[in-house]
Amino acid sequence: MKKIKAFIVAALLFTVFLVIFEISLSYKLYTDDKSMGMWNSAYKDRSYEAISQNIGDDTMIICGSSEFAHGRNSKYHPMNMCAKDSKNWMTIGSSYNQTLLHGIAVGSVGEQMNNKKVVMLLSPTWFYKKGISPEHFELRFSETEYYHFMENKTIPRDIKEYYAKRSEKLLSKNEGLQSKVELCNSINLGNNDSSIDEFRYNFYKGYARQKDYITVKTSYNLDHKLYGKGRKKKYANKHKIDFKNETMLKKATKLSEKKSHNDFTMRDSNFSKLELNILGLKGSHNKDSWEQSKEYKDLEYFIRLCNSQNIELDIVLLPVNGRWYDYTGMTKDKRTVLSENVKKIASKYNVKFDDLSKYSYDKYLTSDAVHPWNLGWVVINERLYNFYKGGKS
Amino acid sequence: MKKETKEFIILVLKYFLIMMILFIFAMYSGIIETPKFTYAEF
Amino acid sequence: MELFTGYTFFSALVLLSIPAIILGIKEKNIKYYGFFVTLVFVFLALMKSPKAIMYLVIFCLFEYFIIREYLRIYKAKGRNAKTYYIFVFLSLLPLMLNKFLPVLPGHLKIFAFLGISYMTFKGTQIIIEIYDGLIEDVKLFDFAYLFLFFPTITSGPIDRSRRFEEDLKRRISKEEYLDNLGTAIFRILLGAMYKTVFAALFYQAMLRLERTSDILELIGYMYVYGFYMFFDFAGYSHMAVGAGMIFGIQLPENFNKPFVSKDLKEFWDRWHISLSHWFRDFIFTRIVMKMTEKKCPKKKLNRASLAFLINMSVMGIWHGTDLNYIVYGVYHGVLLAITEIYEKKSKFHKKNKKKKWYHAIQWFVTFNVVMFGFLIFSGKLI
Repeated sequence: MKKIKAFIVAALLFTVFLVIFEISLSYKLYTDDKSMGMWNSAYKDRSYEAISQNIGDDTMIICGSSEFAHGRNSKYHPMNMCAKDSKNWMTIGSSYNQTLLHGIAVGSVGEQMNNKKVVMLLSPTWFYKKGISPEHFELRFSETEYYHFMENKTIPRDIKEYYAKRSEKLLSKNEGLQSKVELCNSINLGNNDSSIDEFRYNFYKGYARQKDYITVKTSYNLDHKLYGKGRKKKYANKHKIDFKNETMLKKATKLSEKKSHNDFTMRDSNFSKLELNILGLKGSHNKDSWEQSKEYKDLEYFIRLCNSQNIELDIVLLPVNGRWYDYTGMTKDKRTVLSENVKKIASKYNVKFDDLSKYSYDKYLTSDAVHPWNLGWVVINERLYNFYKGGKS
Repeated sequence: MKKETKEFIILVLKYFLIMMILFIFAMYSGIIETPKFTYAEF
Repeated sequence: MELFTGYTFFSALVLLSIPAIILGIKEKNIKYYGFFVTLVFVFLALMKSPKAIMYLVIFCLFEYFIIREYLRIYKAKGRNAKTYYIFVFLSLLPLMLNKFLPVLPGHLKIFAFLGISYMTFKGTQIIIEIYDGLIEDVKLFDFAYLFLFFPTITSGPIDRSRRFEEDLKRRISKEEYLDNLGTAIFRILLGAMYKTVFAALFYQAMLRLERTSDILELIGYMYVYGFYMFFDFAGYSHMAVGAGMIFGIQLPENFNKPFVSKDLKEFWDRWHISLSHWFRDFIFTRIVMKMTEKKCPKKKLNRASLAFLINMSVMGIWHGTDLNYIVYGVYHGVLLAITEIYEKKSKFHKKNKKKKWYHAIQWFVTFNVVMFGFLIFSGKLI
């Protein structure tokens, strides 16, 4: 009996603490200095509130993956080269994000993004046959975005059903997440009106929202106050932007040249890692192709989703290191297939398509097999900037 | 303080500590959950 | 639903415990309600896979059938070793099919349901004790409840039928029940903390150390894995025992500060206790008895050593047919034999075994031997 009394006392104390804690939570993830947008963080990517609260009238979302993490300490990263305009840009995505996840993210804030712009930086690497793997999908899956996606009344039902089916299947190895997704689907898409399930759903929503807030707030503070990962003033471009400026381009080339002494014009430190297995990697992708992939259908649904939300979309197909890809067996002819396929889809839905694969043989464009290096960023930034500034097409 | 009261308080504190640890983990586990894979594309 | 995981399970456990608590306070027998709750949880745990439910039902019916058959034959024909071995084999058959068929050509998966490894122990134990003359009857309800009792279906603790039946009959006073309830709540909270917090933290550390071939990181991985195993399993066991108490059942313990062990024999008295004791009582002692009977090996020490080796190797295979599990078993078998020989024969040991510094060395050696064993178990080396 004593033990039970002690438990009850402790439970009461804990409840008091819980109430105070809950009241103290502000859920504010809005950043006055607009730093949330270009902050590169997998936690932000997965947080509906972090994204939603920082969408303003002039916001442009940029969906991508690992490239955002590269070149942040250089003048050429979009957040530095387009210092002024990128304050209104919101990057979503880190390594392993692919189109399907971006659809959930954009769809979750779809209503806010009505009449606004989204750029999709497509990585060719997403288009291998199987598309996104269950492991990667699970790693980057966001509960809060998924719930808001499914609750977004302006998304057509068949699009929701596509995302529901794909998500359930890809999460089959994580029973906990999968059952939450199934629950959400049954309530928003099915005719589940059980009050127990309604209660559980609301509990999971509240819990996910709180966990999101704490996670993002903590990691934001750590990154900005402790690790100093915010924008660095010394790299910010204070001049007028001119992507074709000869001096600037020469400087960018020289900067890379200094650190690149290999046949593939990659950064030496990156190439040395590949060099260790240089013979083994030759032709390693001989059997692969980008001809057929689940990613194409994901892309189509992404476009349809953006159209349903009245979003103006620009699809940018990122360049790769052409020489290296030839070496590993993803030769130019195979890569052209991807360009053609995406072009077909883009024109089917009348969506702007910027194919940057023509730059794949430019020197010093990528620091490794895929990630943009100084000159690579210039090329991408031009598209971002022009699309952002341009009127509605 | 009586020995019994002291024991009781320690028991309460044990329970409370466990509850707090469970709660803190439930709230903050989002931060540790993402293992930092190194992305090496070849 | 995964048992002992997630808010849904714990909410269900709290709600379903309330009638049990009321019964306990009123000093009434909880067993029928407990069986009902067990069926609810078994259904919730398996409902996503009707095949598993089918296998479970077939398994339970099969085991019950052979137990009743053996009782009948035993009563009619008395103690016959050959018949006994046949029925022991039959009781193990579903588990063996489940473990070995996938490895053979055809890769058949059969009797795939959660908990078959643990349930089999209970059936085989009953057969063995019928042969010993300790069990004279097995009632259907007691059998079903023993096999399916929900806190134990996932991973034990491994209970014994006679002990369980005693608990079912026992009258618990209000005072004792409330005291148990207090302990139960504490252990469920403690177990939840062990499993969902500590084990999860060690698991995250493991993920970060997993991709290395650096020797220092491998050693780090070894300790991290060992603690992960402990907190995960001990946490679950605490919750299982606590849940059992709410329903009036005092399940056997599984862990008792295993990392303070000073030698491997003590370790197996502190780690996964219900398992090692089962092996000790039903395999080890029987092998030793048989050997003593046939006087082969001649020396007592050699009999013990060989028995350890066989006993632990079987334990290894019980975990799975992968090489790392078998090596894990043999590893412990060999080291237990060495421990036995060393402690009986070494003059150094006999001279210093009461000294504190010697205890420190023993602890250090045992701790690292155990951790290395876990590294083998993890499959990282093999």
